[in-house]
Amino acid sequence: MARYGTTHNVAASSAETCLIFLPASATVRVAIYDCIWGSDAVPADQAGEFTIRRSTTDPITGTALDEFALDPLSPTTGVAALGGTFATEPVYVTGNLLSFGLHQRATFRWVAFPGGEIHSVSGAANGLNLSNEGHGATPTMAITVYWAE
Amino acid sequence: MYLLQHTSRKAKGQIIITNLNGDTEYKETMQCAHCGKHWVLKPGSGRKRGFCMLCNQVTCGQEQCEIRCVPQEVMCD
Repeated sequence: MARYGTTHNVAASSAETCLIFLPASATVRVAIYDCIWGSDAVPADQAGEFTIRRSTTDPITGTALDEFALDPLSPTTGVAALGGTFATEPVYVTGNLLSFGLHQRATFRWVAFPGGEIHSVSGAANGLNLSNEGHGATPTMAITVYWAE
Repeated sequence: MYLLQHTSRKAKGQIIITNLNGDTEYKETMQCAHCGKHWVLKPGSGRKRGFCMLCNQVTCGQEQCEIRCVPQEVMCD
């Protein structure tokens, strides 16, 4: 499996919003194994809740992100990552795969041990979402995510 | 660093939080064999989790993960 990553800076909000979407396809299944969350906004005392969730429809009109391969010899990624803000949110599958609260002054990283990766369902319209469940303000979140496919 | 290393209840991930004082905290996460959910084990929290005798792994405690065995690998394909 080849490994890839992408980064995105996007404002959190009080409503449930998708921040990064990693679409799967009939031939590609996404497996997130590392993600780093922080904020590059002016430090302030406020917090939000963030999740990783599966979805069954793609969000609409996001920003195309630049994916990079960790190994330059890897083939081009089959995941066209999208960053928020989206005009239409994806339809989420019930249940969070990872959920955490985060103070704006703190940095959060989750790393999967081998075999503990978070997998998407294969097939068109499926994917994994790094989402904001809610936040006390609208700071810009800086997110880096790595996946294998 | 592995939680309960000599049982099938092995940690499947780790969270690293650097707080506003610059201190770093590490917590290990367990993963549901059926839905893939990760959670931090908190002994004494009162949360009921499960265990699948077919997968020989822990489950998250959600009803759909407890009433039948559909391994994550099967569900995602």
